[in-house]
Amino acid sequence: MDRALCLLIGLQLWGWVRFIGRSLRTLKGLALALLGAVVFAPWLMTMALTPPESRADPETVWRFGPIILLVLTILSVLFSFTVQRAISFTPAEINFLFPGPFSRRQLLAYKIATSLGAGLLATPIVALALRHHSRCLLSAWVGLVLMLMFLQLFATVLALLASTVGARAYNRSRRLLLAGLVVAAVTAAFWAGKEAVHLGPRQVLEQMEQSPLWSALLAPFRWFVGAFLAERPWPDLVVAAGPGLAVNLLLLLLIFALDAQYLEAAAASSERVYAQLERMRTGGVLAVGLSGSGKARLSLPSLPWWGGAGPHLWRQLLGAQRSFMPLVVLAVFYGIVLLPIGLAIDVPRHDFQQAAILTLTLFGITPFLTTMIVYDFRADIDRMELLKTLPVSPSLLAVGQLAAPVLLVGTLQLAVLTITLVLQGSTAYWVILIAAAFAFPFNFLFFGIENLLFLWFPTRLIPTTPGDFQLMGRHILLMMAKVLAIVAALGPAACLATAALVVASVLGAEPAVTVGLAMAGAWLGLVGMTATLVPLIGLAFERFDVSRDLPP
Amino acid sequence: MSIVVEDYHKTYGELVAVAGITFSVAPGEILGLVGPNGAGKTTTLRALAGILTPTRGRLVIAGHDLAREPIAAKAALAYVPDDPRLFDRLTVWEHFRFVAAAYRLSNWTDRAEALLEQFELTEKRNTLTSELSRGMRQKVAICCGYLHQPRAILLDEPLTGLDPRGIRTMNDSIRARAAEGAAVMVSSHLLSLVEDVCTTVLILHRGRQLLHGRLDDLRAQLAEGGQRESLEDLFFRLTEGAGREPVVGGPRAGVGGQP
Repeated sequence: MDRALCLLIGLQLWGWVRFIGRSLRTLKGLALALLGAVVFAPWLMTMALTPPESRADPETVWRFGPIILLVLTILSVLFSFTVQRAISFTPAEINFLFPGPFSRRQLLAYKIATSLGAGLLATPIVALALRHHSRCLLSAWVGLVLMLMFLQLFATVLALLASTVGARAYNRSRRLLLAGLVVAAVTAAFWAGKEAVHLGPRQVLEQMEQSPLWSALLAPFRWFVGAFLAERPWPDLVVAAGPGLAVNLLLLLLIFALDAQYLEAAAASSERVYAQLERMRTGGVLAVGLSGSGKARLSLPSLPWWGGAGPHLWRQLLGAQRSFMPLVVLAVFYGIVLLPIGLAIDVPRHDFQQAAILTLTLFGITPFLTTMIVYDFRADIDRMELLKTLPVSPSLLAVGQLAAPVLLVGTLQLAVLTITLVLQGSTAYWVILIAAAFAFPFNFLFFGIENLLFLWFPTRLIPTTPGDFQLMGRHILLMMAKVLAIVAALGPAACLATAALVVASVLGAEPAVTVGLAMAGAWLGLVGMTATLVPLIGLAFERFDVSRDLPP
Repeated sequence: MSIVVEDYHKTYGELVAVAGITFSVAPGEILGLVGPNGAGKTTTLRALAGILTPTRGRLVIAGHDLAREPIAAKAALAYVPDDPRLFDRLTVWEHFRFVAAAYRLSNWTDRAEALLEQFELTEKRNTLTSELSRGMRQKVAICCGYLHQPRAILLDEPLTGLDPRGIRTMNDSIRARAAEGAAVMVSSHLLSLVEDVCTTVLILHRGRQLLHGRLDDLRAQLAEGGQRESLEDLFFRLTEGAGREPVVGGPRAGVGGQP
């Protein structure tokens, strides 16, 4: 590799160390890093110091390790073809390296070195975390390094192959031929596996293990697992690591042999990846689905003014609409997870069963989705200046900003609840009305606390540096604050419900009336806390100082 | 000629970004590349910088064909994009260290110090570039481009984000580099900059070359013809006017890439 590129890698590594060092010099940075380390280190030590008798059975690792590695390889290939391209450069690299006096192979070598280097920084920690699955720490580390190299190099080879094939499939007939080959391959795979549809997972695995094709497919992965499981550095590890190393070297040779005209494609995909990362930094994981192509799309009808809240709700809903597919995937995922649980609930008292399903749809969805669905202040971190110039009262702005995620999650909850009831053959559709009454203030409470803490302690949604202990510390601190705030916010609702139960019991009211009173008390408490939260968020927005509080 | 572009085409599927342009820039010449948004200016500069591959045509930098001798061509080249991105975790001086290593420069520190002083960056020498303002980052990118004394300089909107002092320094530096023998291409929407700094102009529109000629010749011919047009008037007439008829002629100026 060119010595200037080696220097650049060294400078970047030093820059990273300097960044960590600089931030540790502040009291806040040091405290956050210590908090992250205090939580993280004991866990790591527990994993690393697992006594030999408590370690995982090597036979199990030998059997399932290659399958896990195969799945990881498929996922990494899918990921590299959809989100993060195998060969992508940062904008600075494009500006400095592409017009610079470097050959394509030098740039490829640089890219592979930086990607592997970034991954290698994490392998000692992963090796410690997986210590109880291995026999020797050094073997675990070497095995992981070889696996990481394989994942990276294999994805790069496929990216270059795709680039080469794509360049040759330049006309329609060639593309059709290529599509035909893909369809034929998928059909053949389906034909070969159609028997497996009627079998259980264990039987499928046993049948596959007897197939020579499956053994051949897993053979390269077994070499890496063999290195991971080696008992002694010599001769076990050296012998076991040899084939894995050879595979990686072969892939490396193939990469340089395939040195196609990838620079333009890499520049274009890098721009897309960078744009996606920028969107993810502000809009969260779901924002990756936003297209930067600028194609005309359906638009939502405008909403009324509603004191200024309407236009904000419309804008956030439009953002959600632009991420429609990721949202649908998320909704289907939650449906798949929650529906079987809901259907499995079997409580002797019918009314308690409805209550259990209702509780499941509230607590089983909202706390998890508040960090994923971010069509609120968190997505507008780079637009705070604009928001501050708008002629809208802070409280109404807060309502407009938070209404979209509240509505989206509420709709998902009602859908899951309705489907569960229908599948259970229940006719108690009044539960849906009660759910609607509870879901929206409940969701507002969760999203409100999330936004309040965000406005007080703003941070980017996606970490900007790998291995950032400060960020980990900050997240742990925020998580603790969030839990405390939610417990405190739900407290009045619980108190009012309990008070209603006691009063009804003392008065000897009917069970239905008692439950009704308790629910009314809980609802009043919930709505009261929600109403209190609105001006608080407005105040936090008002006090947000764009010159000081915007995170880097 | 330091920069030669022959029959350069760039297409993306059905979209034609640049449809066959031909021009050259001699040492000491400052070519102003102008045109409306989407005219193909940045595409042309990025192709000359080796970032984009031409669909057809030949690009030559300092006598080296970019397709056949890319490294030799790039060694003689500096490209400063319209939104220069720097390495966030590196200081200004570390950027210079990398550029010096990349272009195999020896005894470069004095020149780097002079550039820092010229662009008022001396105090920012050890500052991380992530902590610099937009204009200062632009200045750092320009200094990095100048450090290896390139024979061909490509500047895409070089004045964006600069303060009045920075604009004057930039303009002076462009003239100074040209006086030292560099061929300079400046892409800009600021027609006043082109009139002030450039010696020749190339007007692109929808990937086509509408006019290429010396600014002095253009002015003289417009004056001879009794037309009181500025470059701005000419630009609007060519790019927005219904006709694309030749407006100027002569040995060094003409329409459709025939200077």
